[in-house]
Amino acid sequence: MIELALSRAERLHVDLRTAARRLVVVGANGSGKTSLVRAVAGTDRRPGDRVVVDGVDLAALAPQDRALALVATDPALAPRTPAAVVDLVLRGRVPRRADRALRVAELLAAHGCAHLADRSVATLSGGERIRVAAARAAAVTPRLLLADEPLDRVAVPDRAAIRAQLTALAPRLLLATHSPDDVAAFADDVAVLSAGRVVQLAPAYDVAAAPVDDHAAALVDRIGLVGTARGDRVSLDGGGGEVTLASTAAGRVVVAVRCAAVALASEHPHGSARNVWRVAVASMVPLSTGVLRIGLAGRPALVAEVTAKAAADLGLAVGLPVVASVKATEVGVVGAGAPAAGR
Amino acid sequence: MAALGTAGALLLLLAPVVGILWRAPWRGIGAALGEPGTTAALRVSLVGALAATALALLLGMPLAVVAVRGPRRLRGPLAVAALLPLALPPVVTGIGLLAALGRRGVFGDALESIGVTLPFTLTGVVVAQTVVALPFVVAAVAGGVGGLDPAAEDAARIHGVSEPLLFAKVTLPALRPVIVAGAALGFARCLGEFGATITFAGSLGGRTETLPTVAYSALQDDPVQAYALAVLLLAVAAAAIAALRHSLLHGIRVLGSR
Repeated sequence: MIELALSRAERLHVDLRTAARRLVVVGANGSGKTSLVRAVAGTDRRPGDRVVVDGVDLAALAPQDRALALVATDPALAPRTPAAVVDLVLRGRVPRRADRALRVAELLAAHGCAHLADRSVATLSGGERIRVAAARAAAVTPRLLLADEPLDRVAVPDRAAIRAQLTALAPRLLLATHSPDDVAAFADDVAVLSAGRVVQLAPAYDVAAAPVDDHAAALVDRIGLVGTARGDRVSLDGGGGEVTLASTAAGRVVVAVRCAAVALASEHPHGSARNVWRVAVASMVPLSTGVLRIGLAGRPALVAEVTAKAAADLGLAVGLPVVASVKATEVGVVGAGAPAAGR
Repeated sequence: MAALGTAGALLLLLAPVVGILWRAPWRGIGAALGEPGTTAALRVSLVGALAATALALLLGMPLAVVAVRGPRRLRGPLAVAALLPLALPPVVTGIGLLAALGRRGVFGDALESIGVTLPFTLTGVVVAQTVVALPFVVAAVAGGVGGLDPAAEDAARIHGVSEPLLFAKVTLPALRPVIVAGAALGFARCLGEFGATITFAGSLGGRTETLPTVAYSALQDDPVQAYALAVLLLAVAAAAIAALRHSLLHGIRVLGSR
């Protein structure tokens, strides 16, 4: 359970509770995402702040007892080398120098940066910095991991692996992002922030199916599905069906299916789409842009985005059985090594 | 243009050097410098400049931090107070010190009651030189504090690093270049200090006489000795500047960026 009650003058008025393991905060630039992360991090602690994680009020604890970690776009690594960065955080926790050196090496290796240990952080790439930041975060064994657009400066091919690292770091995650792939890969719940207030807090699927505003619609525009990949097939958790990929993958993955890439038909289409599912219309929500988000009950549970004209031609109505199809090339692997539990 | 300017600048900069080397009593220089007064003055100069630099660092670094990060209302007045001796003629600084800390000064009785005498003592030399060195230390360090990345400190705080550890491992190492630069600028300034020192601490042979003050006194009655001392001062200054030049240039860059 994450409970937040935070107020910052004109910028932020947040009061929320969620049982989600991973809460993703979305919103336009200036909506207060970073203010929220900073307020939870406690760098500008105010009286009256409540940050309760699994029953522990972090605002009432001394900084070294909070077990909080942050991975930001620029993780502001200091001192000079990755080894020193991790060592600094471990100082209060592992008193013996030799034990600490061992633990530093372990943590760096576990996050794929053993070879960077003694480089200058100034020379590291965006992706390398985030890996070092992940190692630093792991050093505090956080009860809550905060992340502020952590993949912004990470090369696209490296993102899935780094998402997996971040997912495994802490039992709870609060992530602010403007990346739809991040939402699909991480979110159990989505909080939509507008002018410093939470205007929607719901499971990611529900926000995709019925986004509260245009920003929410733009940022929550794909459904993340967790499963186990073998060859070009992913068998989804919880009997959620199967998805076919354009390329091959192995092991635990999160795949994302964009709402706009889901085509609906009344009969089985004879086309190039490799993924075809029989589903039923569960909800229909018009967006301000004139298109409709169609919630689909089935295995998997997807959301389609179609024009009002197409919906009318198909005679779409809640309860109507339809055939949904998605080209394999439209299914992206956005996360790797996702753990079985959760989500 | 660049060559012309450089040549003009060098002409002016090197004129005093050439003058001194030209007039230097090379044959009698050993004897002139061997005089006990000279070695004592060299010792006072070096000890005074080193002690004053250390004291200026000790006092100037906290002031620089407060002047940049302290309460907004204090920042301007603190900066003016710290930089004032830059624009003040050193003689005036010396007169002011006498008026405040001299035997008959505003705080003279208070100092005497705790057994401290400053004028005409080595401690007085150190105090006078500390005052003139402080602006350089404060300006260099303040420049560095202003350029610190608060995100680096915040990140360490969020991960539970304690404030003293944070200062020792993140803040201080980041400030090291400007601290060294401030010390270099301050030390160079102390070595050449004349006005405030002679006004406040006088020039008592063997006690408060520094190389510049002994050179000045010698000019009145023993020009040969004065030129010999000028050569010695030139050598000390050239060695100090050569050793500290990188830090000095960094310090000047920091001063300029404020």
